[in-house]
Amino acid sequence: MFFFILRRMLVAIPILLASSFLMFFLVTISGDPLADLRQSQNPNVDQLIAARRQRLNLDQGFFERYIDWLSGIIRGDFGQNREGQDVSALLGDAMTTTFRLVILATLLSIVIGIVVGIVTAVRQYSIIDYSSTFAAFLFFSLPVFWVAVLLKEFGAIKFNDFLEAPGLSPAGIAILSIIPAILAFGLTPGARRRRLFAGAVTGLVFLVGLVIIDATDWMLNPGLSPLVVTLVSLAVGVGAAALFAPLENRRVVAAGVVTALVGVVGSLAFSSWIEDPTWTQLLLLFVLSLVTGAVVGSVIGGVIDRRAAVSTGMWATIGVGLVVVFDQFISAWEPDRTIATIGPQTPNLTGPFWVRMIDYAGHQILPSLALALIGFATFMRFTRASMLETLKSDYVRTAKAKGLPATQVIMRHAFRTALIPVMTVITISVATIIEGAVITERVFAWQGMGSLFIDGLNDVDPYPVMGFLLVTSIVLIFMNAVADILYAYIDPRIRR
Amino acid sequence: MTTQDAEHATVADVAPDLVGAQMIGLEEHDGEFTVESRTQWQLIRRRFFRHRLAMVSLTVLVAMVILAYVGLPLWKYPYNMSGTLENGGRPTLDLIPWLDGDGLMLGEHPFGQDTIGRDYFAVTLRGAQQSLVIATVAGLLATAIGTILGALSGFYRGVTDTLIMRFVDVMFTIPLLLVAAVLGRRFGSSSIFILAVIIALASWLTTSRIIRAEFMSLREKEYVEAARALGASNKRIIWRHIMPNAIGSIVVTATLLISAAILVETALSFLGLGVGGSDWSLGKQVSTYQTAFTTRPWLFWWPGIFIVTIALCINFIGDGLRDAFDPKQTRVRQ
Repeated sequence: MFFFILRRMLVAIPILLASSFLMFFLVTISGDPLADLRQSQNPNVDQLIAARRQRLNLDQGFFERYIDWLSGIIRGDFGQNREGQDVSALLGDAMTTTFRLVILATLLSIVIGIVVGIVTAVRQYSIIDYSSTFAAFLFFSLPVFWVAVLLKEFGAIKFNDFLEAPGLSPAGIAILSIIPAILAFGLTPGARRRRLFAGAVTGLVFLVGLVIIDATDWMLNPGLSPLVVTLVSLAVGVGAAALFAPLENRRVVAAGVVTALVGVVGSLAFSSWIEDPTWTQLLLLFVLSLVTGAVVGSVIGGVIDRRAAVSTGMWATIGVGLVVVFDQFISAWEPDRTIATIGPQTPNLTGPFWVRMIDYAGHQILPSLALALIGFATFMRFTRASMLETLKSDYVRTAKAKGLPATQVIMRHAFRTALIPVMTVITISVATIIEGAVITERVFAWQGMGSLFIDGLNDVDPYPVMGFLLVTSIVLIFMNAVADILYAYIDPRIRR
Repeated sequence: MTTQDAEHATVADVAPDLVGAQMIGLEEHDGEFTVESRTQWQLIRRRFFRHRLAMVSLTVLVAMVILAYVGLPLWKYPYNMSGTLENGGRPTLDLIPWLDGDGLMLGEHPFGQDTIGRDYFAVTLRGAQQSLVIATVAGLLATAIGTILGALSGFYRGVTDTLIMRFVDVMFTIPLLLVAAVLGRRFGSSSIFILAVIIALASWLTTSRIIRAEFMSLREKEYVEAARALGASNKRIIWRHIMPNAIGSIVVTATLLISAAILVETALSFLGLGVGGSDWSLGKQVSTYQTAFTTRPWLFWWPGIFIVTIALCINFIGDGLRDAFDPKQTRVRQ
């Protein structure tokens, strides 16, 4: 395995060299860096031209400039832009901004895309299958910046207006209850009657919940009471158990429920930490809750069900943690136009941890969503196709025939194999997501790699453009290598 | 194509049960069932014409093309004539007659007017014309490049394969939109055909990989071996034996490339590298009027709706073609 990784890394070097050479060529021919000065009326224009020639190394031939730039890169020096600023410094700032966007969008689209892909494959030809396939086709056909502008208008401006005087019309409540009812109808397995029942119950729950929310002006002063936190946590515990064992298995369900209760008690015990934590405290709490979940699971699970119970416990604590964090988030919510349209964060904001976090989130959510749509469509389609293939295979039928629980067959047997082609697509799509980020950043006025690239291109400023291209190509090559290594991990036949 | 038709017809006639039910249509004649053989092309055509979504999309797309090319010359305003703003340039199109009771009507300026009073219906049709040309030329050119390189690489293997595929590997490390942006910066904005070539140059990579894989598996087939044993030249094997079997993948990737090209054109326009001068494309319209969204939303909505509709239709047609060529992957319940 080690040599496999090593070889994979060594192959990347000549590719990187070739691509950087090609990019340098493209950037060099893209225009004349002195164009603006040649037309300048400035009295000392000759000096300016000479200075820029010297700074950008324009007196040398193409190959010398490339070698110069390359040796600079090896020393960690990315050259200077036209104004003489260090590209390395500019690139560092831009990278943190852009990668925040790209990473969140990629993760969002992977998680949602794969989950929806699995669900649509398992429930082939259901309402959910047809509607999400249509949605995927629609997302494929949307220009990214058109979506971004629409999100800015409706997701931010109109939504903020709505939050200043929230109130749901009866029609709105009806629509918001019918959609989950249809979802539940499509997701529930079994006979038509059972599915209708599930749909009706879900719709009713949402209807009552929304009426209460509307009547109590909850949206003006959001937050979850301890009772609601407990109830939702219990549901999360049972749900986690359902992932790993059939619900008839009492021990595993008990593990989920007890972990959820312990989690709620723990969150009350550590409430002073949770209300204004530091990152270290948050990490400590996360580790602590994972350990608690595992311990509770292994105590309750006994010998036979230990594995399922431990997994259940750990996932249940993660779920409870998310509920608690969500509670903190919405409690910190102030109805002062939190969903932002400009920049990656409010400048010079100080305040408690969760206030800063919700500010980040409010700035981050829309650009990430705009970006995630494309990736979501791709990942969903590929996961679905690949899952359908494996679900039809002989070993899945064997696993079902042995009487293994359906979740285990889907997650362990089918999904693991189905993941291999999906991973290829994920690594290829990162390029598309970075391209999309260039545009999304522009719409939402983030000063990231996108503006570095575009401004550099418009000013014919070669080194910032090269810096951007180099970083993206390193990311892409790295992603490819990661994909290869993951294949080798999942599928031992590839480890040659 | 005729030889291929003949080949299939004979196989189906001689040994109908070997060919499988898919190849044979059962039809009632005079109270008796007779077996009518269908060629592969007839089967593909039948499957495609029975794909409802693809048919609807094809109709919509053809209607839009006709609207753009026939509608614009017939329309009372040219796309580049400015005029006086009427009613703030609001659109007069009324598609929901029961809302204000005026009935279904086009009115003077169905899509409204832009800031200097140009009729926006005409501008949008002009934009659609340009975008359709760019997308088609770019998509077909990219398919041609990808197919030729992929075919050479997959058929000849060896050094040719290594050279082409390493080049593709290198190109894959550069985000394609950015290659297009750099090229567009240098050569673009003088003509839409140059723009189309730039988009094509940036989008053939995936096609070449798909066609290469297709050729690599097809060249190992028995009938290729048989043809070679009979002394067929490489050229004949490629064009007569492999190409007809790879045409499904080629057609499907071509449609997907065309719909992708529309979106790439939009993105390039947004970056200021699209259609230049005073001419229009749908992408340029959307990016020009993105800031007008709060004051004149129709300037932003109409070209956007056109882009989405065209791209969606082409994607659905591609999906129908995929189902027609490869019924194993069918999305709709049989």
